[in-house]
Amino acid sequence: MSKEVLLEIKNLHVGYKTHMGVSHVLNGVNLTVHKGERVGVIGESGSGKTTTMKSILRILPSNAIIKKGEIFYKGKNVLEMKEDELLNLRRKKISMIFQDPTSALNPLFKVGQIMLDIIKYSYKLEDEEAKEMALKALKEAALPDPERVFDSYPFQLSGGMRQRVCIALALIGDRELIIADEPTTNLDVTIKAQVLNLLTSLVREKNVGWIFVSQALGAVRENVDRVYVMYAGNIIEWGPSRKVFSNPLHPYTQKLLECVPKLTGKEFSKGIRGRIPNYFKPPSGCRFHPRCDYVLDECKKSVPEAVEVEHEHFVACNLYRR
Amino acid sequence: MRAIWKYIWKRVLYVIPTLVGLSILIFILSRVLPGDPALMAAGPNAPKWVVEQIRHQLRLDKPLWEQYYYWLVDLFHGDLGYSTYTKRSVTADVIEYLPASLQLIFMAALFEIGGALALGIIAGRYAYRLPDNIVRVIAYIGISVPSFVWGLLFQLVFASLIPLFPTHGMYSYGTVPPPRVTGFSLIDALIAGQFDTFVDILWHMVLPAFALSLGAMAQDARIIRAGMVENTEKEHVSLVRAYGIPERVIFSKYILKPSLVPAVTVMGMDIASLLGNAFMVELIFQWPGFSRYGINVMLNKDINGIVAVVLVIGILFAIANIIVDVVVAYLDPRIGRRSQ
Repeated sequence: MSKEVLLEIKNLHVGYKTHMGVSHVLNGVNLTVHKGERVGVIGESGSGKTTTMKSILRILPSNAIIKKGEIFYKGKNVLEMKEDELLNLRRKKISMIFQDPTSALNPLFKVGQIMLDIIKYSYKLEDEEAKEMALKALKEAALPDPERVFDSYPFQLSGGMRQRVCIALALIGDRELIIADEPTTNLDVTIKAQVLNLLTSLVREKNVGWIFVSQALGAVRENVDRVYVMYAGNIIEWGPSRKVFSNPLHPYTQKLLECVPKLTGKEFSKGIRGRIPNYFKPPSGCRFHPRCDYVLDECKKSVPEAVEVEHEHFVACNLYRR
Repeated sequence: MRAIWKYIWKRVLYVIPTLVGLSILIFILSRVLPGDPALMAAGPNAPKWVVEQIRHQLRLDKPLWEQYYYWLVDLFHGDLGYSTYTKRSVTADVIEYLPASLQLIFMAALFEIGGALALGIIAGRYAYRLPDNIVRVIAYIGISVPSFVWGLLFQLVFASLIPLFPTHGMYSYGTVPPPRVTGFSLIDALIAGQFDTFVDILWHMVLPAFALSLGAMAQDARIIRAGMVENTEKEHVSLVRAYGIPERVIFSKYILKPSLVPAVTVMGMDIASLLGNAFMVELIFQWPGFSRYGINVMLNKDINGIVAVVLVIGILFAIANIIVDVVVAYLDPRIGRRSQ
């Protein structure tokens, strides 16, 4: 694996303006993806995974405010890109698969209409060539009868097929980075495995950079090189997937991994006490401290610095300082 | 294409029982409400035998079901009964007054659709910014001020203070009305080749049609705006944005289309209800229309006239409904296909 950095998020702070005030969601996110690398992001719902991913393409909701931080794509700051540079990034470099294929496809347009628009604006092709490209992508996404899918409205397709359509969109052209934001969360169990296998084999085959955001810890473990653990707007632990899963360091990661139900287990995990903090008034210091069993005095005062505990395996926790 | 005709045909079939129900309801209501129609028609000083004769003529001496039966038989012969107010056939009244009103409503509908689209899209495009705030104030005033106040105001400002438009009526003094062919004076003027008259009628229609359209226009502009603001934050908009489709296209295609679906539904109903709302406006602008006729028959308890007026309004609503259904089915494929 080459060590050329493709994407680097540095100290990203993002909040949302609402009528109740400003919620401080991302609290200094750092994340790096190398060329052709497969990176996993795990963490419970509401920890800011989607916000981080949407920041990369600058498609955050209109009430979001990026307060601080930088997102470098091949050395260029995405947050300072001009309109045409940004469009080029969206059209040719990075693609994204959304969490819920039903809400991600406009219900009033045929799959083909959406695909043609995307291809036409990205590659300035004639209708026929564009259609060929779209059909090729649909075929790659293992959709039976691509012609029919092309000519269907999203409501005429099943959930699994809709997500395959979204995968097909992400495959158009030769991307350098594919962001998959919980691509299987909203699918039936039976379809989950199919879609996941398709996606992972395509990523492997194309040797493309991949950010895989998921709650399915087993799938993340098997399919990524490195993994980031996110909690309440912070990356609290990261490292090679093997190391993080076999030797979780952060108390949150340990609890999170314990929560995975095992078929052989006799009882359910107790879960993690408490809940994700209120982002309007997040806890001081380490945001996990109100839920942590090993909380120290200093945890309440300042955000812990990341420490490299073993080779390339980092954790942001005061238990590992020194 | 065949599918859409089937869809329309089905809608039409659904409408028939509704209209039959409406006719029974209004027929019974018009006859059981207090006040003796025969007495009202004959006048306070009429001798008793005259009242009885009118009562007999209106079939009020027969049982209710029989009255309805004969009314229905007459209806199939194109006869809506005798009007005690105009002293002639109600059918003749409808033919005389309805086209003028429909013509006015049609123009008001054009104003309404055009204005609502323009205002709604501007407000949606510049949501929470100055243009949006201006539109919001306009919409607020448009909704809260009744159409007859607009009528009076327009007469004062645009007809009297600044004499751009005529104050009332359908023709200017000295204009010869075109020979009656369809009853729609605009069309008749064109048939007769009187282009000047055509323009003259249009000129007379501008103020009343605009006054009539404002309330509905404001309401629909607000619905379009709300839809656009809502759709802007939808995930499917994030998707097309993420794939580099220009904002201009996102707005005019992927945000606008879903925002129009709810607006079309309300627009259809608003346009249909213009006929009912037109009364004050027709009165102020002395427009020889159907709404004025409607109020007069009600005040005079002209039972056949009342039934005819309510039915015409019902039919208008039914037609508007069918048009709305077809347009919505065209915009939103989920609706048309599901019901097949």
